[in-house]
This record gives sequence, structure tokens and C-alpha cells, in this order.
Amino acid sequence: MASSGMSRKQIETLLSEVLKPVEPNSQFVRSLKARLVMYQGGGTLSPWMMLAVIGTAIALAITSIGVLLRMIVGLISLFGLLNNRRQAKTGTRASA
Amino acid sequence: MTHESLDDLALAVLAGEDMDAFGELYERHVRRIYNYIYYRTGNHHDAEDLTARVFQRALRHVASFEDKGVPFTAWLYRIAHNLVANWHRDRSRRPVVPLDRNVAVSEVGEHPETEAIAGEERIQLMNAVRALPDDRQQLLILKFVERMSNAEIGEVMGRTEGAIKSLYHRTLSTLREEVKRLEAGESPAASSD
Repeated sequence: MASSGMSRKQIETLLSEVLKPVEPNSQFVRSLKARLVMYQGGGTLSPWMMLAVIGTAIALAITSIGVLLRMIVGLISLFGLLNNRRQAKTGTRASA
Repeated sequence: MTHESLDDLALAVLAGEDMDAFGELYERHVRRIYNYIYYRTGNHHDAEDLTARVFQRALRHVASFEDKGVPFTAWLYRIAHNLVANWHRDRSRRPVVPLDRNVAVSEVGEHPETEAIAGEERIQLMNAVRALPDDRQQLLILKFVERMSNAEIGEVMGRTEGAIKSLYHRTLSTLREEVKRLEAGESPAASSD
């Protein structure tokens, strides 16, 4: 073959032709970064973060209980109103 | 101050608690770590898998990173080097994995015969490179792919500039002999250091 007894210079030239930087898939680079962010997010939360999470959970619970109570009161009032009307109708008929 | 203006060591100090700092380090080094692993494994699939593991491990341990005068890059290369070594051990053989052919024969001339000879020379050279001990392969990758100086390579590999220079010359001599042997149709010699 032509290269028998290659000089060091020739070896270096060939190496610089063979060992060239390759570009990783850009989607891989992006998705790995996203995975690393998630990976770090999977660790223990900082105390402030923990406090914020607990606070938000309590606020949400209070709000949802308030809404639920309002709905129950509303339904009871509606039933009461309907009942009153029914009673009023029956009373009018009886007096007639 | 933005993260872009900080050097690697300053970012590494922040990276334990600041994901943006780690993100900046990732952006700066992901390509070179990928290249290093790609040339050590010979395929993109394993290069992606091991690159991901390098950065996951780096993220886990970056909080304990200490500035001992060694560049952050060296720390990353060491993680990559260990993972690649494990990868080779898992396969329990010297990996003479054919490099993706498009890389080995990417530069071709105009004449088909010349192209074929040039392509074969490159493939033989790559086989000879793969038969080298780990540290010599690392040296060649850092020198030719990353275009690092001997001093920079010394920092990464934990050796003096003179030691790197000497190792480089010995590596070229070994490659010369190895290519000659491969051309003569002999099997690759057992690597020694």
C-alpha cells in the first residue's frame, strides 16, 4: 500500500483528518438539559420551597372548603324556598 | 452578573444550588464530552447514553466540587473517562468497534482509486488508535478533536507538559508500527504502556 513506512508527519496529517469534532444531535442536547433540570427537581426541596408548597396547599384547602360550604348553604336555601312555596300553595287551597 | 460572564470554577461553586449555573456549564462542555465519548466508544448511541450519565453524575456531585487548581473540564473528563472504562469493562473485551464509516472516510479525493486507498488508510489508522491504551487514546482525542495544547492536556490528564509531549511522541511511534503491522495483514499487537 502507498502508506507503508508512513512518516510521523503523515500519521499526524491522517489523524487530523480522521479525528474531527462531531456535532451531537441538537435534539439530544436539548432533551438532556431538560432531563437534568427535572432530575434536579426530583431532589429534596429547599425549606423555603417546602414552606411555599405547604402554604399554597393550605390556602387551596381553605378556599375549596369555603366554596363547598357556600354551595351547601345555597342548596339548603333553595330547598327551603321551594318548600315554602309548596306550603304556601297547599295553604291557599285549604283555605279556599 | 450573568452566568455567561463567569468562569467555570465560579459557576461550579454556584451550580450546587443554582440550576442555571449548571445549565451554563452544561452548554459549555456538552459537545466536548460528547466528542470524547464518541471517539472512545465509536458510535453515537453509546455516546449519547454515556454523555447523559456523565452530566447526571456531575449534577449529583457538583456541590462537593472543590477548586484544587484543576480545571472543571478535567473533573468532567475524569467522570467521562471512568464511565467509558466501565463501559469497556461491561463488554469484557478490548473494543475494536468500527467507527461510523462516514467519519473515518469523510475526506475523499476526486479519483475513486485514491479515495479507496485513503479510506482504507483511515480505517486502519482508526483501528490502530483503538488498539492503544486508554491514556494514549485520550491524548489523541484531546489533541486532535479538542485542539488542546500539551499544557492543557496535562491539566486534564494530571501530568506535566513534558510528560504529555513524551507520551505523544511514543504514541506516534506506536501508531506508525501498528499501521505497518496492519498493512502487512497482522493482527493488532497487544497494547502496552
